[in-house]
Amino acid sequence: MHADLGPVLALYPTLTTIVGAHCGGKPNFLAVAHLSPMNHGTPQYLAIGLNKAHHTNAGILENGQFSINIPGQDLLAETDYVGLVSGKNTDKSGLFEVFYGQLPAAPLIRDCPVCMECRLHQTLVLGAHDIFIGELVATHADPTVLTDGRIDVAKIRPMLFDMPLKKYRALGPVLGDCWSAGKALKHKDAQ
Amino acid sequence: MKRKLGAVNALYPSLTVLAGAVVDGRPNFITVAHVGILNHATPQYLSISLVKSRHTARGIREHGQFSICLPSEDLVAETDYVGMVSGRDVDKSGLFELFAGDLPFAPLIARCPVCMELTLHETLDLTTHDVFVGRLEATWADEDVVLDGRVDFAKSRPLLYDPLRRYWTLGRVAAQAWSVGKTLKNKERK
Repeated sequence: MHADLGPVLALYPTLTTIVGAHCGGKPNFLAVAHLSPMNHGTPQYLAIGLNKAHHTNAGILENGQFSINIPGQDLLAETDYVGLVSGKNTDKSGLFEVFYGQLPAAPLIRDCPVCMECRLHQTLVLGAHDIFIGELVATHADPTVLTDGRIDVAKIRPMLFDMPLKKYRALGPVLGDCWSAGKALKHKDAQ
Repeated sequence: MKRKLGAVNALYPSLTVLAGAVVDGRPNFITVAHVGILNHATPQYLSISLVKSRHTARGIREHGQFSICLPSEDLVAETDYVGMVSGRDVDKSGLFELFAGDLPFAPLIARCPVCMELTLHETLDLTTHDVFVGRLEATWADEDVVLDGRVDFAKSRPLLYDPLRRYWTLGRVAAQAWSVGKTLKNKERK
């Protein structure tokens, strides 16, 4: 039996990332778990949702560039920290060793195994939030997280965000293969 | 030293959901792992991204309503199956027992521990894909997975997708959010 919880956000867990942008000419970072791939193609579009109160929004709007960095569990404290303090009061530019790819205002974090550079494509305003839809320009990955040249999420050891219970969770074991686990039902259907 | 991979989407793992709509008078479902939380407020907006030609997309456009249901580990075969066959060729309406919520065109799956009903707020045209931005109207959760009025995802046992074509389970808690970073915050003050 299902209980009616009201319009409670229950689309978790989500990947925890660190978004970077230049604010006042300096790199700034914040923890973001409300994000989404918008399509699956080229160009590839990714969206992040940020409350307008955040310091980073002005930097993204000013430069039209941002980064999405995926931390491993060894950056747990740093990731949580950049979600706790605002760039308005705290200079977070020295927290990480930064490098740049093609975009000069999309700071990438050396210690994150995967870093993505995005160019702002479109901004959607939903009440108090800016939804920044970025066009993915380039992805940089540590060779240690690749399997046959492709990113392997198990090797990243990502943090999954659970907002209702305020927890970061790890990945569990693999349950099955996609486009495979359901084949038994497909065959049944064809009979 | 990092390797440059080109513009490869690395936002994984992502939550695997079953999106439902009514197409030609019949409930239909599709497996979607490109879902998003757009804001955190009331009204709450969520997005799902579908290739424009998908059968379910037609139902969402027609009725302006859809559902997002979260399958648990025990529905892995059904979830995978729904992603492999199109409602154009196969009637998927009998696959799941449904239950009624508030919206007539947002079919809810009784065996999914968490189900959400949405009305279509806006559609974003991103070349091959339509991104349906839905306004969350109601959330239904199996009483077994609710803890103090909130969904406990350790109990709902969601499926996580990654591009190497695996469904992952949710693992142990690594740390408490808005807490584990406080050590750095306190260090800074000194």
